[in-house]
Amino acid sequence: MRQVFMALAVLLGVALAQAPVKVGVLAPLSGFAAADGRSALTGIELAVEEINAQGGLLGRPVELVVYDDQADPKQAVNFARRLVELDKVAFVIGASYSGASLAAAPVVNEAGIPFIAAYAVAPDITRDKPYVFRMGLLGTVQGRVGAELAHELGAKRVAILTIQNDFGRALEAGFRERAQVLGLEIVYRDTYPLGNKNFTPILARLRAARPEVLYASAYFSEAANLVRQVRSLGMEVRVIGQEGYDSPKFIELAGDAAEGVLITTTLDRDSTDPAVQRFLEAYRERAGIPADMVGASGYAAMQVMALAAQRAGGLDGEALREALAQLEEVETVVGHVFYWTEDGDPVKTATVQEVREGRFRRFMKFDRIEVLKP
Amino acid sequence: MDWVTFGYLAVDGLAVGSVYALTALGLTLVYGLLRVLHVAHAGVYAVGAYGGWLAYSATEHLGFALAAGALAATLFGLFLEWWFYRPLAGKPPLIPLIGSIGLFLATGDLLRILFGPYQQSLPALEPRPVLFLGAVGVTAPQVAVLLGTALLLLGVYGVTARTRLGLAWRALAQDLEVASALGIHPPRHTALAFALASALAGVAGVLIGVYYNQVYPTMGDVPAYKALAVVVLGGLGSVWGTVAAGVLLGLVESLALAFLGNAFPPEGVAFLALIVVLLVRPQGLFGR
Repeated sequence: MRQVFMALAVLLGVALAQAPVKVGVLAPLSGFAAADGRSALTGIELAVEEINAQGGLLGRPVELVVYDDQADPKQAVNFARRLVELDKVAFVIGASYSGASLAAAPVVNEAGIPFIAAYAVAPDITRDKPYVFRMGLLGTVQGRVGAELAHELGAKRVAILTIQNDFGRALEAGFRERAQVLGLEIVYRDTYPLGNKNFTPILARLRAARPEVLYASAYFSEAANLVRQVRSLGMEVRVIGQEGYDSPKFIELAGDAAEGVLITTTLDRDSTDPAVQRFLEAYRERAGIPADMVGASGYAAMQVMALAAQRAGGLDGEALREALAQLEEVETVVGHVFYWTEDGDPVKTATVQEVREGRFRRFMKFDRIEVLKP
Repeated sequence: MDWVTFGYLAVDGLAVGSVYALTALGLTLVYGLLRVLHVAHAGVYAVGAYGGWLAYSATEHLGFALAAGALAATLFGLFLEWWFYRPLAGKPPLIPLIGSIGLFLATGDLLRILFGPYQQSLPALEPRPVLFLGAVGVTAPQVAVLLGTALLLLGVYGVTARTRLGLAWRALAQDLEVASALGIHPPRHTALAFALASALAGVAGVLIGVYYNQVYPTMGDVPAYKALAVVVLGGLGSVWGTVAAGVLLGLVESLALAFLGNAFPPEGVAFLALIVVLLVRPQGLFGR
């Protein structure tokens, strides 16, 4: 009889220990941002697989609860509420755009559950929300790195083309701020709406201003059209983009026109870190296409959360938040994070990648903290 | 503004406008015969683009891609006509219109489920200038779009104005009952007109796919409402009105963007033009 009890107790113990850790994911899996949502989720899934293969998180398997927010703030709020109230997740990874993340973060924050925005750039996502953190580089920081790069290239006359959303505005603000310090002259400036296909009218005017560098914010599908049309107008201008361009699809869609385009981003394909190379390979195997910054950021966000949970030794929201805030000198596939600021934004390295022979290659590494600090 | 910049704008506006015309033309044909605004036409356009992309991936030949795009779109259009529009014939026009919007949305998601959310590349033509008009370079995709549209428009004009088929369609559009009494079989002609309209949408889809080197599930979103604006602008059911409105809209958009910048979204130009024209000529530019 005693043996039976013992056996039951052991079984019960195992069952309890193996109750999965539920992790919430908000990602745009349909709608205009579906490609990015798919990439981010793939990165998160890869990280979870690795964690589970290594015995799970705190000895328990990780289970994802995924909702498709369509990058729509209304849906993001509803699903965020669902995640914290019904699904009772341990933490949430926001694998969506700024608009949706801005809407979801306060809900999760109020519930006292940690939230990490994988790649959304709007500064306000983390402001005054102690439980909200970020994995990606802030838009303003990336804009500054862009201006540094233009300066590095020896350019004096620059043109700015900005996508009309938080992402574009933040990039332009950072670029302008640094351009002034560095003495760059802005000879042309214009904006365009998300989803724009035809840049020729803008470029025809920009052409007449004769800039040496075009700093253009865009997501990869707009970016592909942009650089194709730069080529079709026979312009010699050097294009500097940022992480929105960071997708193998950009190179595929732009074709030859992508050659020589520089982007500031966080995924360094030429990194000598074996963890980065392992990730790149695992991603390609799973997704069938090379990894992009968004996928890598999803992967890194999941890993950072897991690291914090291990440091905290549990999944209590407050302890997890505390552990996250104290993480420093963390090596991730999207750069070396020096530390997280009080707002929850990472101070981390950036990389400049250049398209050469149809692939992203490292152009330079950027680690000057005074520029990288939000 | 110097002449070279203006030249670039004009070529770009003409090329984009001619694809508007091509997309909207099918819509006009369908409206002429069925009296429904076939919103799902933009879904047919996306299906055509995917057909072209699949064929191009397999053969790397633009001709096959265009033919496959036309075929895929025709089959899909015929399916919609037979399975959806035919049973709803004679119902108040709001019913097929609302259903059509639903069908359009479903088509985009169906394409996403089948082929994934990523933009697919259709790299049939490089965007390099191949022809120079003075200092203004014209690229291969622009030439293809302009030439393709011109040929198809002539073809459609030939069919509608010069053949017995076109005569029958015009008779049906004018008075369905009298035309039927005279021995014209409405269902067969509606299906034929649907097939032609869908094939045009399919070709337009492939051409736009080549023009921007992108084929993706939501590519019909903008054409869905812009083509409607073009059709109304041109005068509902008028073939030449549609063509003129499409080309004009492309030109105006291009110039408006260059002169006014993005003070208001370029997508708004179509509707601004629509409002102005409807205030002055409620029947549209070429409507009677």
